[in-house]
Amino acid sequence: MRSTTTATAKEKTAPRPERTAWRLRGWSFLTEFGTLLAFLALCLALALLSPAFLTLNNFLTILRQVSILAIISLGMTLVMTTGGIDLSVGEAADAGALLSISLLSAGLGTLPAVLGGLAGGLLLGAFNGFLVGFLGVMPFLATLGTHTMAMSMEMVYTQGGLPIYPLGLLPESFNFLGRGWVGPVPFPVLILGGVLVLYYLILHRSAFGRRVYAVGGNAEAARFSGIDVRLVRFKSYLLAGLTAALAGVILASRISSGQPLAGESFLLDSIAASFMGMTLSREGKPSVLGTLFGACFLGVVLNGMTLLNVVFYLQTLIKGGLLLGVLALASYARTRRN
Amino acid sequence: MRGNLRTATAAAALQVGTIGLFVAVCAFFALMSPTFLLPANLLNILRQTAILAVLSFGMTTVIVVTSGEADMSVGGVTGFAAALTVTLLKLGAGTALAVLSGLGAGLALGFLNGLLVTRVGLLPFLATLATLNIGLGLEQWLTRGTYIPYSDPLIGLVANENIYGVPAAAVLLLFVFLAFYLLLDHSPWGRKVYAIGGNWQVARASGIDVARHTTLAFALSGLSCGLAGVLLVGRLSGLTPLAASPLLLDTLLAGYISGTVSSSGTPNVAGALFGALLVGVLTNGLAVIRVPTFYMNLVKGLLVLLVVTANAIQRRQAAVR
Repeated sequence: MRSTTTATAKEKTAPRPERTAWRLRGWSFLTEFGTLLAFLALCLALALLSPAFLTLNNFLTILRQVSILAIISLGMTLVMTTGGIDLSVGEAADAGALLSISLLSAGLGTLPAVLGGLAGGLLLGAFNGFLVGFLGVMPFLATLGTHTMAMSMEMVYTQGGLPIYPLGLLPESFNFLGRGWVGPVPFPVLILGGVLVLYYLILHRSAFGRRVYAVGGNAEAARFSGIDVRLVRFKSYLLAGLTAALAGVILASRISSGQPLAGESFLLDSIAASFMGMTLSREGKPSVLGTLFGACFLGVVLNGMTLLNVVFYLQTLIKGGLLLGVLALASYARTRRN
Repeated sequence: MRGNLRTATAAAALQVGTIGLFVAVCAFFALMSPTFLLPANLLNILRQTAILAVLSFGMTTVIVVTSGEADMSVGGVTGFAAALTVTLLKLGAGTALAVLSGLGAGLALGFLNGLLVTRVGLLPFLATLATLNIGLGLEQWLTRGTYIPYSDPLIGLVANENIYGVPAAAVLLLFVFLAFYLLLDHSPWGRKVYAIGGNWQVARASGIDVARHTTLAFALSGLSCGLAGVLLVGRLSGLTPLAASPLLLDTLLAGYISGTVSSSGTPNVAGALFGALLVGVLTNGLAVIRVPTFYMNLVKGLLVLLVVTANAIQRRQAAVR
């Protein structure tokens, strides 16, 4: 189902013949290095415009902010590699945050509380995976349904959107997750490093990863070559939910509370980060390192808008335009591959 | 042959199930609340549903032409159209100019969606997700994030008042319904749209300009968002930013219900009207029996999953055949 619609979108744009070789080279240079150049230009512009940008302090702030987004984006990238999307990552992150804080308030230790938070994300992921993998529902519709229901449950759970503050002091070990430092490095950045290595191994160095790419490339062909497409999809959504919940736990530790609907803002950013990563690859395919770059790019954009005092109602517009540009670039890279 | 029969039986079961759901929902609310069946409330449902129904017709066109994908930009495009309309009214432009600008804004963003899908080659839901955020950004920029009060007598009349006891919005809805019905179900263009949705390769081979008509279908959805935006300004006597955003879920729901209620499994305009009424009754009824909004979304989310799962299973059966 999905693979045919992908083909539809691709085929409908018959690649236009390039007029000159010169033009062709210019275009492929732009699509291959365009985002990289844009990133460097952005950093340069921010360094000139704001004296606060190139400070060590700001650099660490960006890294810390990026780590949560990057972790969520890695799960999103996995799902996108199968040819799907997960519109409920924000709620999985919220599940991680709200459940871990609630469990801590109930007197549980750090480890069971964190595990409880992760279980919430796992549950949402399993639900998505069941709908998409086994029932064959289109990913964006299935996860939209999950998104709506999970958001509604969050509102019920928090009595209409009241933040959950812990009763008494949070254990030091929990605080360390989001606010600790190991030498000069913030602990969330270390967690990101660990998740990054894991995802790299899963997606680029394992048999499962090859199956994921195969399913995303052509589900029908994957099925005929003996891959259990349903299981690959199920596991991908499961992992995406779990990963987003981990990010939610870190967020909860950083702000020492569970904020309902806080995860929603990560949805668009994680999609954009994944697509930005695709523009880096020669074939327009998602990759772990590409996504890390995408998350950093977005982190710098968000940080820059804050430093330059861009009003909030323009921020949505800027992010929307950025997403559009990145989507177009990624799609151009993909048509070039064919 | 037997497979054919099974698919037909499944489709019929789904049809009966959906209509049964509508009857059950109405019966439930009638039993739960004495006010639900009052003529005033029924007319109120028609008035409230007009915006949703207009949107569902556009959504249905997109679902048909893309063979099951959707227009996710509804909330942003409607919001931008409403924001532009109210801003122009506030600046002293006439009603006609403001309304035309609102419609034009919707049409332009819908056209952008179409170009992104057919010329740039983006997946429909991604292209419209990007446009959604452009629309939301423009809406927030125009409104500066705060409520803009403005009541235009003419727009307010159409959105809120009655003509001879019938809501003017319902009369407008009837005309829009007829226009979409004739355009999609009884015109050469509509047959092309259904042909593209059925099998775009065959459609192209038989000489249909697939890219052009797909673009037009998205533009039409944008236009219906523009009209919905103007009506929204009337309903709210101004504009609350992001007021249009929750409409996406309702519109998707109505569009996909349209698929389950049609005998072929492909949505059509009459089915979209039915779907919009079902969602409208559900929204109104839950409010009448005082269910908080966030429980309402739980019900609607569940309904979305039910409908799209039924749709997916039906499609798979058709493919196996």
